[in-house]
Amino acid sequence: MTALAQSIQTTPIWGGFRVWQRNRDAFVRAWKVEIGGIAVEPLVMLVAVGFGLGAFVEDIGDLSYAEFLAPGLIASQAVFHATFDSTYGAYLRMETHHLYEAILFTPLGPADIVVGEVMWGATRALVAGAAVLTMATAFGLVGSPLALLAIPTAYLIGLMIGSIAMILTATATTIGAMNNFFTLFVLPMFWASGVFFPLDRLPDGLEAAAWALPLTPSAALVRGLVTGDMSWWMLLWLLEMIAFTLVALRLASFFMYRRLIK
Amino acid sequence: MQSPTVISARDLTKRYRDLTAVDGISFDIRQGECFGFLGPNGAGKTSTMKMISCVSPVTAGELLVQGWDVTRDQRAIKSALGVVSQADSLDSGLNVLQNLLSYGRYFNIDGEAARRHAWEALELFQLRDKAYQSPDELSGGMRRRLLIGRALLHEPSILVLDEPTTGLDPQTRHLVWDKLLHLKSQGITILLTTHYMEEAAYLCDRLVVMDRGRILVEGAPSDLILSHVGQEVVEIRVDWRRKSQLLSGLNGHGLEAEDRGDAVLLYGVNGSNQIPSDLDDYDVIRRPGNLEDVFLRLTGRELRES
Repeated sequence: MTALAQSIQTTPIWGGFRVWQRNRDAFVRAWKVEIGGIAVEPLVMLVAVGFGLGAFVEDIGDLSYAEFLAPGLIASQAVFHATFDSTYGAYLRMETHHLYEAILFTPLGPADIVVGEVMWGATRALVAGAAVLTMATAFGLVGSPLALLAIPTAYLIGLMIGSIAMILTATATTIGAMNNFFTLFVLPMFWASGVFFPLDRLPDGLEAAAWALPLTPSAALVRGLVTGDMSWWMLLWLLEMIAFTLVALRLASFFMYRRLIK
Repeated sequence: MQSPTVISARDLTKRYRDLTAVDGISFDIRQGECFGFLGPNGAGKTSTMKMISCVSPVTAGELLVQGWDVTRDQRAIKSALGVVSQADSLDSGLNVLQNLLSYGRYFNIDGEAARRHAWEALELFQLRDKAYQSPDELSGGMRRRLLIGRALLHEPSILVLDEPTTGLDPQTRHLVWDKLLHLKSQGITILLTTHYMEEAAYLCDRLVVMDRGRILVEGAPSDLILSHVGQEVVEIRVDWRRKSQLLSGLNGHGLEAEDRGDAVLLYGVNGSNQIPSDLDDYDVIRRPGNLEDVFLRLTGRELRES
């Protein structure tokens, strides 16, 4: 093997891609079961909250409530789909399907597994985000062609939240630990990250705390792209998300190594 | 001419917290041989296999696989090994063929070559007509065959098998043995742990018997039998009421007698003249010595809990 091929093979990206391919194959094999969740929930939420509840809500700046909500739903759906896959999905693959055990006896290691799982969670986030964007476009809620950039942003959101979720998966001893992650972290974050209302309505201290949640910069970034209301802040938010991702990925790989290699 | 060494261990040690699983063992495995690790539960066989497979770090000592150091060159070593661990780690999210293809991809084997190897493996292990089924629909024997086929997909030079035939019916066991001998004839080095002495005697060129993390003996099965129990063993079936009487009687004859619970064994007997005549009213069987005699003689009768 040439030195180049060997170096490619020893990077987690390459190994991670092999794990990603495995998850893609399993998804395609079971797509009929998997496909429903991508479309139904955001559609109901967009109609019920955006148009139903939104009819009683005053405009936010230049935006109708549905226009304000739609980008937030793109970001939050990306979060939900990546989180589900990197918690319940990954835990099931690890503990019930013995997938990681099998992979460890190949040239891949714990870091490849983490990267591959996170890449797959992000792919699901991308698909879910694109589905919401398509609906929002159909309802006339999209104000700028820059909205297309929300699709790669959904992927980045998936990488970030998936990396955080993998820290939990790597340290969980029961599947019940995943429930706590949802009830104590993901769902509160969903309500408090500027998806449903502008954060400047909050008292200063709470507003600052909300900006420390990973969904907050995500929703703000997507909103800027979808409405076309660009600002330099978006660059900061992007960097914040990348920082979240890199730190969480490191931690997840560390804990996964500790779990698998004894 | 002696084949080159492909795996060498020097003072290899594995400690988990307060348990020493492998306690400073040394061995050399030569290219193309089938090398066995025998021992009761908790002897350190699986820990040794895991260190060789680079999924468990070495605590102390040196371990080289094809000249590569397990502490540094894990990807290179893992590329050269095909491992069938004790856990049944088939991927139930994929069908049988996809199990092979995805596994090949972990070794960077993709596309047409992967497809060819996968179908060859299915052919070799008689699973061709199961290709599109879920592994959950396979019997235990089929699953094991698939696990071995999967480990061979990237054409490894060393095959590591941790109890490959445990729980299999005799038909499947013989099929597996047949395939392993076939692979050996193609020059693949095979490492094997097993609790079946018959299997070890049949397959292994050399083996070690381990107990409590140490190697007790090493050698070819036939040599070990000769040196530890002799060509022939006299087995006296006796119930516990008459056993002490029998044992004290035998001691008087100066014979090496061992109490194995259900029977008393006499080792190193040559010719019928040595058998005491007062055994006539016991149930006496003369049979060739075997590896199980060696094993029990070396490791004793005490049960191991682990």
